[in-house]
Amino acid sequence: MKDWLERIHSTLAQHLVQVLKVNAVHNRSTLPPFRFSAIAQQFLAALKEFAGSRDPLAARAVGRNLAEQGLGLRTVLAIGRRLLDDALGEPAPGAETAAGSRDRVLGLSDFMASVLEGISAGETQTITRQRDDIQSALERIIAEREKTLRLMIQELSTPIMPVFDQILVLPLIGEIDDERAQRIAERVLEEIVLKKARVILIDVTGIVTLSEQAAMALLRTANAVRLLGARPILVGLSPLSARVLAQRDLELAGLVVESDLQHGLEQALQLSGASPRRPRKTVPIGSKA
Amino acid sequence: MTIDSTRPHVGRIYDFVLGGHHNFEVDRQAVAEILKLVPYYPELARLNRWFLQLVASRWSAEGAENVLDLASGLPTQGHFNDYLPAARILFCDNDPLSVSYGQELLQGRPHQQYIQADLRQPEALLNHRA
Repeated sequence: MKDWLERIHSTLAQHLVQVLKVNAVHNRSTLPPFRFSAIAQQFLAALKEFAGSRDPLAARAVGRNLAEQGLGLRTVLAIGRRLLDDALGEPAPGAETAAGSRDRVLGLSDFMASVLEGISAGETQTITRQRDDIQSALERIIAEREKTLRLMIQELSTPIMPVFDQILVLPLIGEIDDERAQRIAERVLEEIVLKKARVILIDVTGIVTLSEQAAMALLRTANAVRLLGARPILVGLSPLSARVLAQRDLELAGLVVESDLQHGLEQALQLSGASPRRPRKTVPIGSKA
Repeated sequence: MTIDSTRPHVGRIYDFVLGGHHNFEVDRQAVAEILKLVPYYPELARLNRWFLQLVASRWSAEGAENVLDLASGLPTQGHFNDYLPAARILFCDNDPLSVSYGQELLQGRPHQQYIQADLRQPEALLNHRA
């Protein structure tokens, strides 16, 4: 068998490359055509090694290695068929006996059986690993998304506080994406109607940088507030946020802006015509007021 | 973009037609439908991937050190990271599943990163340094 392999090595290599080309699409895409020649040489080197050692484990390992490189089962079967065809079709040289020819075919058959075992095992391992990988990636994303949503819900739980008659304060912290902006708008409008508010202070002191997206969302909310007959006041704008608004030339017409909550509250009191109430007199429990 | 494993996903579909297994049953069913209309889709996908591998192997031989890959999909089935293990590569996609898996795959390779970015908003991509 070894003699046969050495004798027609280049022919066999050409045949294997041809088989690899014909079956290219049956391999995984990890095996590009420009590597077919190297694969053919690796296959023949392993076969030659097997001819000397007859070690099925070594041939099996070769099969696993070829599977890892992307060689498909169908292609290996086609290679086996081609090699068998070459082995049977090779005219026996004068010195070769019938037993030698039989040994060549049986050796080839044994080699292919072990390689196919290796290919199959390698394929199974690859399938399991890749499917596990994608599943765990999906689970991790879901876990991350849930964590983000939990945090967002916590942030959304920030109450809209009535500080005086007809004056509300909405303190905002953290990121404002489209979903949160929508919820803020809904809650603000609900509370304005519910509390019959005339002014709402939107306090963005807790937002270091107001993104353009968030600024746009707040301006839309402010416009909606005005449609309900109330006045929005934006307070606590950071220098970075102010720059975002200025750079993007966002329309602030009609929106009162104050530096901080205190000034905003003073402005709100003027706009609403309200006056601060005196603190209620504390009455001990059980006493008659 | 939402993550939904009950609906087919283009990145996983592409992985499947390339011979990969980073996909779900719903993706494989979608491929079966696609093949009814475009039976040569796997050949086209492979040709595309083999071209990428050919380019990557040449870049490797020439010592290319920086690669920006746009709309990377799943970095599997013989992607740039396989052919250019020493290069600085920035992969990107707008799909969170592809990004998450890519980040997992590239763990231990600080010079190769995968970020979520959308070409329609290129600032994030251009500001990122791999």
